[in-house]
Amino acid sequence: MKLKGIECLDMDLRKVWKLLHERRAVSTVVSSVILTGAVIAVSFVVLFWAQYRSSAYNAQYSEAMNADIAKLKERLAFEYVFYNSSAKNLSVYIMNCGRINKTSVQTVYVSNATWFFRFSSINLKFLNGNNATGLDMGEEGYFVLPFVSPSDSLVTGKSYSIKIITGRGSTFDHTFIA
Amino acid sequence: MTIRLLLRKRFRKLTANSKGFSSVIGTTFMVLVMMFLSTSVFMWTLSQNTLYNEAIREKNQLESDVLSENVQVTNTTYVVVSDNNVKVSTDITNPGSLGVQFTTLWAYASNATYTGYNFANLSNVNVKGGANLFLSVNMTIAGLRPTGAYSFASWLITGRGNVVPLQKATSSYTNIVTSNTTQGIGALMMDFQNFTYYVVNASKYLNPYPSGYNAYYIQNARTSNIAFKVFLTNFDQDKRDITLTNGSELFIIYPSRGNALSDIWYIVNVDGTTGKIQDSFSSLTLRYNQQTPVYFASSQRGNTVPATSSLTPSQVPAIGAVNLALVGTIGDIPFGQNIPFVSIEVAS
Repeated sequence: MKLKGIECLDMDLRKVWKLLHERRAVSTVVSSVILTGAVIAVSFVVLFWAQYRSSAYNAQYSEAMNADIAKLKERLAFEYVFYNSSAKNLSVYIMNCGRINKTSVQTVYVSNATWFFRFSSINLKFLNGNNATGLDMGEEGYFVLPFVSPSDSLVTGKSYSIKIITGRGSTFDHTFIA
Repeated sequence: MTIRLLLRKRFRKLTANSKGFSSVIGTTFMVLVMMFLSTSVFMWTLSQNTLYNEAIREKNQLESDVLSENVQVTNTTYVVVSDNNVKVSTDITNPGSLGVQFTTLWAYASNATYTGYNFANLSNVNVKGGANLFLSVNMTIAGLRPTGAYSFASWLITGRGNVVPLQKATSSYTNIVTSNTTQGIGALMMDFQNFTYYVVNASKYLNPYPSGYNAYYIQNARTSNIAFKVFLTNFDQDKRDITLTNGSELFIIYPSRGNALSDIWYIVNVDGTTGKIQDSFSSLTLRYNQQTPVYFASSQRGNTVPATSSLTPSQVPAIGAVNLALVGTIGDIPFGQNIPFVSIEVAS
């Protein structure tokens, strides 16, 4: 029995010796290993690149979606529009009755059928006179639009439209009589 | 060769041959990567769309609520109570199903030479669906004077952003004529067709109540305690409330009896259900355009001491000139009016 075991060990050593010194087909194995490794490596690269691209797409889509949702939630109510014919300015009182905070006023258009005037720097204030960057839900505020040029002043008793563009891009219209 | 052996041979050949193995791995990886990415992107996009749909549903609900707000604001009155101050009173009715919260009241005043406006922030002004509310707000509008005549307009802002105009009290042509007439003699008008007297019993109940007797012909005025009832209507052109205080009285002068002989009955409160004179007097408010019964029964001001006529047996029958001397406030300023033109006969 002992002799048989020694013979087996000797045979195994001979196989290893033969494997190490046999050059035939070695290049095929190596090339297969390299090729497989390369494919796996490239696959991971592709995975990470695709994930990076999809993350960028996700971020862009998410930003656009959140902006749209925020716009949907915006709502401004016109409480009162008063034109002071002697001071030649228009006071516009508004309330944020939407479902989102920090609603700001970006641009205001005052117009009638044949004429329009654009105000881009709006000084929004709370009703107590303090400056406001935006109105939170339920808050009220106002801004005053000066009509400096006599040719641009409003005519008392005439009907005009006012359009507010918010910082998020929503538009709100109102008609008033100066 | 059996099919089993054939399959085993092909499998052994497939596993023994390493050619193309990397392609299999690569393809498997690619498929897994694509499936993973596309599934995650799809699921994420779905969640984003859900958020968007939720926002749209919320906005639609908001719009629906705004459109469903149905509030009527009527019987609005404006009283310039002092310099720069106006009192706006109105009745709010909410026939809709939604509760309404009012946040701001705006008022605008003008006349030929003046224009002014202001707002008042309202707190806890909520009207449930189907409920009514009387709202009275003192506002500051710079430049207003109690002596001036102004045209007013006002509107309420709801929490949902609706603008609700306040409608003035409706007045018919008849009321306008009456109001114009009373403007010359006073804001209160007496109903001359319904002038009634009662006998007051020991428990201070009016008899017969509520019908009473025609007060143009009075019997037993000397021997019984007497109470008078008149109907007064407030036709103030500015639609202010008139409040009568305990100095208001009904007095009768008997010119034919000499020495300015007269009797006085002071104003009292009477329980409208039982006809019992109340033990103490509290000021009586007459709302605009509402006919109100007013009772006179006390010989003492602010008290409920029963009163009889001071005429002696030899002085009856006597013709008396009845006067209502009414004092109190109109709005928040003092008021007084004397209503004459009533004469009666005290028979006994």
